[in-house]
Amino acid sequence: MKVKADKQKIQMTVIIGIVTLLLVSSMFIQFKTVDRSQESNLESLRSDELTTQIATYKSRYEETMEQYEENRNTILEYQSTMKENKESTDLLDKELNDTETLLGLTDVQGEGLIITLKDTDEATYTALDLLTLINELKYAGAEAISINDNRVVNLTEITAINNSFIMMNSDSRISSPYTVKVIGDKSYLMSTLNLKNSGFVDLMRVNNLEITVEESKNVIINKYSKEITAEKMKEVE
Amino acid sequence: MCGAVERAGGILHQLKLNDLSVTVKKESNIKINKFNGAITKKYMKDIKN
Amino acid sequence: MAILTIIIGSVLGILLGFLIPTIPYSASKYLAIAIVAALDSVFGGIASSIKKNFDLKVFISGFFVNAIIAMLLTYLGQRLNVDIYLAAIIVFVGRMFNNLGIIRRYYLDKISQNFSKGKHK
Repeated sequence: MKVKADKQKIQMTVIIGIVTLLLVSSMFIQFKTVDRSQESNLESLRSDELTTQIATYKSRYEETMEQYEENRNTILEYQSTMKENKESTDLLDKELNDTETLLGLTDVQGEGLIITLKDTDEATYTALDLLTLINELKYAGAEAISINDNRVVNLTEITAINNSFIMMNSDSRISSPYTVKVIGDKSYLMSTLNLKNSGFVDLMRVNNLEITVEESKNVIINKYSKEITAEKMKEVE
Repeated sequence: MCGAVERAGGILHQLKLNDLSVTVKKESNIKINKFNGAITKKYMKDIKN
Repeated sequence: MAILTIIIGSVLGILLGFLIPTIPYSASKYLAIAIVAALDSVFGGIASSIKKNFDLKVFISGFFVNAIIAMLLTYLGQRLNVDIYLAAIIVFVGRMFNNLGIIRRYYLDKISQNFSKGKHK
């Protein structure tokens, strides 16, 4: 009997030992796991912790959305201002280009006339003749004029020097033959120059001066290459 | 500018020779109004380089 | 004798617990419920041994089977989206309190008996 009881006792002890071992080790493993998971890992949170986390994230999200909307609106504003600026810059650029063209500062082409004036033994062209021609061309709606590739602009002067040669645009010397190019309505220019008796052609021919007038679909006139200054004049407000 | 206008053979003398009345006055502040018409660009086109 | 094994087992258990690497967080739920079930079995065993009802087979089978069943029920609850493990906890802890009560009453009896015995002497 005693042996059986002893055997049982030993059995019991062993079993108790194993059971305690398992229990305590599992508990401590669980303790470690729970400690680790305190680092706010969403997958391991309990439901009440989850609700507070959700509330926090929700308010953070709303703040971020507000910021985002603000930033988006600012960007849209900037974009539309940029667009406006670009439009007004483009407009200014266009105005500038147009102004330069109208002043004669650009190379231009268009329909018009090519007029050739030649001195002969009997008669020579004077500066005044050229001025008369230019005046008449302007009267007939000329938009651009050049004499021997010197552009005639607003304040271009044509002067005779000592009756030997003609100067224009301060320092350009021109002499016969004079090639006068004009851009404008070519039929109107043509008819004005060719008016009976009063037109330039008749006026010159009467004085035995040689003149030929040719219509052209594409006259090329170069730009005025010097500077136009405004030293003495100032704009009045 | 006065020099150019007043020189011998210049326009003043020519006009006076023809008994035309001309007066030239120096001014320190002249106001010239702007051109009120339109300057058009119907026939000429820029040549793009 | 039993107490000695318990102490030795606990110490070894603590060491083992620190040495073994942690299990993934998602499994911690199951381990926790298994521990509660096991604790309930242990106290049940102690209480039954006090009442001289102790059956080794019942004890061991209860220890492991309860733990496993508790884990399975928790998993089922996870899948069904019903917190079944709550019921398990209530039952196990409830039984723990019962058994602890029995143990407490037994030892209190024993102490007061010794007391009165001592007085009479």
